[in-house]
Amino acid sequence: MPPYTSTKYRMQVCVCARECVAVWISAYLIVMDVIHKRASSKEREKIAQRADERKSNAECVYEWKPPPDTPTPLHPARKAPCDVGDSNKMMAARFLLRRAAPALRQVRCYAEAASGAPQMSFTFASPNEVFFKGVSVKQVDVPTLTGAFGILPAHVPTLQVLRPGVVTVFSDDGTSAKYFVSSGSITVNADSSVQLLAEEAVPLENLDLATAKANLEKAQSEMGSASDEASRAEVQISIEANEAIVKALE
Amino acid sequence: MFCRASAVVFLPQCGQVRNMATLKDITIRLKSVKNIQKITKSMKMVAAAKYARAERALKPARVYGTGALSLYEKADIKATDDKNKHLLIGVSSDRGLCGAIHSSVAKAMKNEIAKLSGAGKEVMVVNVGDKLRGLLYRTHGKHILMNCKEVGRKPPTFTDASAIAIELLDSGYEFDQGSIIYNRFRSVISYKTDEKPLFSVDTVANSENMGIYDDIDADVLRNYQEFALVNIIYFGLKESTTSEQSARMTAMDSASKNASEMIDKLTLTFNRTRQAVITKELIEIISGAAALE
Repeated sequence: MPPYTSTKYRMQVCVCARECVAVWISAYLIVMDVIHKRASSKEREKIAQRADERKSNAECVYEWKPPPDTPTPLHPARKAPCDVGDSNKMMAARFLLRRAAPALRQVRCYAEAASGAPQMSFTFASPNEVFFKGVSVKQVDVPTLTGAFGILPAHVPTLQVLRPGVVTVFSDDGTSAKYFVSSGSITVNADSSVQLLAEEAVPLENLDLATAKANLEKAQSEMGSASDEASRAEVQISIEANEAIVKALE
Repeated sequence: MFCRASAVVFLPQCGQVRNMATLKDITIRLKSVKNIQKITKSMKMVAAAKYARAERALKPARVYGTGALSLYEKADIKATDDKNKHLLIGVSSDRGLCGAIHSSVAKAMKNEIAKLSGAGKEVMVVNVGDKLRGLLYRTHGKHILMNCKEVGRKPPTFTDASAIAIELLDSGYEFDQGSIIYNRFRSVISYKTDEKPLFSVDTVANSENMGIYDDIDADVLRNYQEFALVNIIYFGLKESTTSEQSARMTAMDSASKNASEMIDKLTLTFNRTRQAVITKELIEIISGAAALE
């Protein structure tokens, strides 16, 4: 009987095959490591650059740091000269590195501790009054045209337009303050400063529920009599604003 | 020796021109200068009251305006050099007697127009305030897009700024970038002509640093930009009125001081003239009496 048909031998072959695969994988990793160590500083720079890009695109929260025993990459202005003979090796290294880099990153990196989180410098103003100027707060909830969302320090930079609604500011000591805004804009910059510019803003305590309801009914009745598009838009805006006030006060 | 032609020779009446002014002339002049001093003093009081109000309103407006401009600074938005359509908004007012307010803004605008036209760009100008129109329409009339009147009588509000912005956007002039030239208030006695940038929706959208701001679609950006335009115009108006009132206060103050100086001088002249008249009469009487003896 040929030895390869027996089950035992087949298992042995399988085991052998598995071991071979394992050996091959470890060899692959070792080779990667070696090639990686021998990669020129330019490669490391490229990897760091790619890592930065990926970090800024928020795809991977891990940060890739170069292994500690290798020298830091050269300053981009002083690139190491590379001769032509290396180019093929570099191409191969680059190809393999691109495949291996994710694996390496997950092995080596840790999330950054949140202790160095930037403070949010919050400025909230209307044309006639300033409510907050460069104050550090914990969170701000804003109603925008695309929906209501809360802004914490280190929020991604964005520009939004406000709709009539309630802005809630949670300050560092835990207290919250509510304001009703009619419209305006909010800017979150890259350095975590937030500018909330409202066309009209009042603290919620200053609004009267009964008057708001009366205004809402009046606006709704005007809706029927509005003739042209401009006045219809005005009435629509007034209805929205009054509805928001009533909802905020209830 | 010399044969003179019999030309008509006009003898200058030097002897009689610089006659000592009569008491009546000096009295008239003194009265009018005193009236002027009263008027300038009251104008100074009014300007001081308006300035106090304007400065109080400027504090939140400044925070508001710098908040609106911070996006342009932080994102470092710059228009590319091949954009050709520029817009200048000059902010001033309708009323004079405020020192160099209008002329400094007009000078800055003329320099900008000359620089941009020299570089081949198209420039249009919006005048906020009638005085600017008066200063610019003769030489740069073809650059004027829009004039705003009735500025400066009442303190500017957000509604005024939005009216200006709406007219500007409706005018159909698709500017790429521009600037607003206004007088920035520094202190009671000093102001400085300053320039802040304006950008159009396309310039902001195509700027390189805008990529870091996520979740922006064209509609949101357009609304945001229009609101920012109104904010910047409002900021310029507020700063401008405060500078104007403080400049008017200073100007009227120095006018009153000059008037008091003139009154002092005229009073002295009046007394001297009066004494001279009395002395002359006395001399006439005495010499008449002496001649009789």
